[in-house]
Amino acid sequence: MTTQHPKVDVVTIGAGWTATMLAARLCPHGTEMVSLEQGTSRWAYPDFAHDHDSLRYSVRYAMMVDLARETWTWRPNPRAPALPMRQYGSFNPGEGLGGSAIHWSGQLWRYLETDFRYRSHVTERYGASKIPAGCTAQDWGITYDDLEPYYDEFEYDIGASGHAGNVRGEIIPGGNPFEAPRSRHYPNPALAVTPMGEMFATASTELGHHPFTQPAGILSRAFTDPWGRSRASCLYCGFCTRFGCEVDAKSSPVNTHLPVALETGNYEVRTHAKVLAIEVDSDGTASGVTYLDAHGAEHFQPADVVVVSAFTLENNRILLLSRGKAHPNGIGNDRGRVGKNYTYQIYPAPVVGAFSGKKLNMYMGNTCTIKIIYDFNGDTFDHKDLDFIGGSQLYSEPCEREPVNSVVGLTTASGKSWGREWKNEIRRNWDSYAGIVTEGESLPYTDQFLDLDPNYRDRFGRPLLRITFDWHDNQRSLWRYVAQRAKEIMRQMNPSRIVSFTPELAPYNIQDYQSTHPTGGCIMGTDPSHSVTNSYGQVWDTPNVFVTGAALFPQNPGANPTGTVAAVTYRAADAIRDRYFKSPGELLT
Amino acid sequence: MTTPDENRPGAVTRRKLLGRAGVAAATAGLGSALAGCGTQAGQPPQAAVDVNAPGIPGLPASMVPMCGVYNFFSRAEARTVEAFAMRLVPGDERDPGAREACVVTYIDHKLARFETFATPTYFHAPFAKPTAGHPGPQSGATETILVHEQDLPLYGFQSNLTPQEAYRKGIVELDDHARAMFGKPFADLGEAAQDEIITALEKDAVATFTAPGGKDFFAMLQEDTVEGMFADPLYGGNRDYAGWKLIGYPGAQRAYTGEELRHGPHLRRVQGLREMAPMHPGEPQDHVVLPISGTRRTAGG
Repeated sequence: MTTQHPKVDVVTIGAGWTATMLAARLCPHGTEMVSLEQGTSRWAYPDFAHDHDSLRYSVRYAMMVDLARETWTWRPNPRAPALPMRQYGSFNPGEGLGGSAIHWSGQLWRYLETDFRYRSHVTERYGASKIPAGCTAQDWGITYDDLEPYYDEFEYDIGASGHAGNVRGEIIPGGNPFEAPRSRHYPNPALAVTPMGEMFATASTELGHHPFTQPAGILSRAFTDPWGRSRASCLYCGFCTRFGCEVDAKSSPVNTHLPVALETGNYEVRTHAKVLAIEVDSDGTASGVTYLDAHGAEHFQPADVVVVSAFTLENNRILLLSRGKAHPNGIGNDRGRVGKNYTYQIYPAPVVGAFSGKKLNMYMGNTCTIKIIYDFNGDTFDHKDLDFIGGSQLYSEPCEREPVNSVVGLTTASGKSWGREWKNEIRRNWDSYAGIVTEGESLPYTDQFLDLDPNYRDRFGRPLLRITFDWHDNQRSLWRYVAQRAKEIMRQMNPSRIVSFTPELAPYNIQDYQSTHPTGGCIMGTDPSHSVTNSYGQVWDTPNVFVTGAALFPQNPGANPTGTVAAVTYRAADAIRDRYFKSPGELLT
Repeated sequence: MTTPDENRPGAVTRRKLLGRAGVAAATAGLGSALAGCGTQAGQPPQAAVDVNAPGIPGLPASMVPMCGVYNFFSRAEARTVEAFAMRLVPGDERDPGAREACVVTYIDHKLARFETFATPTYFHAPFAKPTAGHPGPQSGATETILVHEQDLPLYGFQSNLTPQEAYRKGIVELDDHARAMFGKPFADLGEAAQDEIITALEKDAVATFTAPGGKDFFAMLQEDTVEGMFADPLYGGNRDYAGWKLIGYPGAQRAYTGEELRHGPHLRRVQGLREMAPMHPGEPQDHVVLPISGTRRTAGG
């Protein structure tokens, strides 16, 4: 027996940040909206008040999707067998009110102008032959200028902290000179930086680079947002990524858009609601979603618009699982494009150094209390004589170091991670070593995609999502190049010992944490034969279904996705509010 | 958590005793704080008299992860695991290692508390089976999936053993190997022989280790020893903050200033979750959820 709910204007799958952004922009104008969240309700108080527990949150993943119920399978290429990620490794999608944006790191970026015109830009500057064979990189269908007002608004809504590098074309010393022009400075100054960050900045400057402080969705001072809510500044407590912030200094859905939306009275979040599928009418449009409540009872929530706003991987899976007469291969998949252009990000530290006798205070602060350079990211440097396209950030290792997951990373000169010699090494140097980290572009290829696994199922017997992904030559060449640049900077910092240097990019593995930035699969574009949605995330073959989040990205730049996820969502929300509701079911142009 | 006793005016409760003892321990440092931590190989555990142990006020002593009292391991198994852990993090009373930090107590409580896994784990067949060739995708597999043995490490954890099974079987494999190599069980060997075995396991060079494999057994022991040495003492290890003091980590602090971030911390006492200042003093929900018992307890009290 399925419980039928009254029809609403919009239902969202998930109550993470994009769902609550939509709610905050639609519900004040009378839109009735329901979000279905598979996890529990949680707020800074009391849920995060005493969460400085590395074992519970960082080792046992208290905030992440429970893999006992469902996971993702992976294989390096279409010829290899896929196995499930049985325990957490490569990425950490969150579960519960606010989604992954509760435990995020706060690294906040705008993408570069060239990122949005990827294929066009590379072709114009270097010729079409510069794009690797099999690479399906494409333009987004929108430009930086389309998104700039939304980037700006989001940064002021959440009180972003940073030092601008380019305000309306004027280069500001101390900021990122390579960033695209912004219309205003950040609302709050940059966060404090640890000694490792300052050493990295000094060395980079000496080498002619342009270091700046990581822009952050974390308050560097007390801030009153545009809705009149005040929040406290960061306590630099050292428990940030994988943790909820107990003072709401780290901006997240539960301290920004969610309360704004709930106050309208037009928004409802149902927790412990697991969406099974989007239902489709005989005319091919979506009629609503079917979900299970905490007791396993089935519900149907009808809606005029269905928004697929879960994590990137689940968004792909929901579309593929929503099969019916009108869309036999899943919603959005009439042309077989769902799952294509799956990309990730290069993350590890190519070089790690020890600075004996120097305390680096790495256990304080957060992932944003660091310095970073863009001198080798995107196309900020000339690739004419290089054997790759694209680039990577280089930055001083993020802080908030926790003993339980870091002591083994510091090996002795002879490579040991146990025994008396190792014990003395961590005694002397646990807070005196740090790496230089990459965050590098990932390009899409035809043999890199998402589909449904033929062997593994979730607790309801539905297929798991299968990831087929490995690095290609372009990314290996990119790594080889930036690893050498990282080593130059490390040498300039004059370490007492190079703990490790990794000149070659190892094959992708799903065991090591790299980033929670899987992107693509439901990509936006201008041509339905090469994309799943238009630039508003509106699904070409089912126009009352919208997709949000990084699943829309055609390829993954060398920067964290959240800022762009927000800007794209703001733009889509305004288009839905101002234009879609006037002619429902029509494709937005 | 309040017991009826604590509500009685003037009652001397375990909580009050612990409160005073906690201050004394902070100033006295090590020494007598380790008295109750006596799990010398082959000796029976000490009685529950360690007032400095990070017990749980107001709870029966059986809820406290008392050092040397085991719920999962047999005495012989505990001795073997402790011998192993002591080679990973050696120590003595002046410079605590795995034994002094009660690492095996931590591991034992983890194994006793979680029938399967402490961390979220997808534990359904088909399970991986290593092979020399390059098998294809194998659609429709139900029991096992063949995977090239060289590729298998890329896929992360793929064991079909629970940690309880892996310890039980692994300890037997370890002792069998020790006897074959040196004629004695692992715990009775000298340090050099023990190190030789551990080194071989780490390199996956012990063929008789099959389920779990030698490298997997090493990795499990190392991971659990590190957790027992460096996780919050509430979980039963890291006794008297032995792990955190070793590396100069001040523990669970509420806040640092930007100035401290740049120039180093002001003098701080090492503290755990129990000592964190309350966020909202007096509020009913301002509590720590204790990891072993699941009890809610007001912090900073």
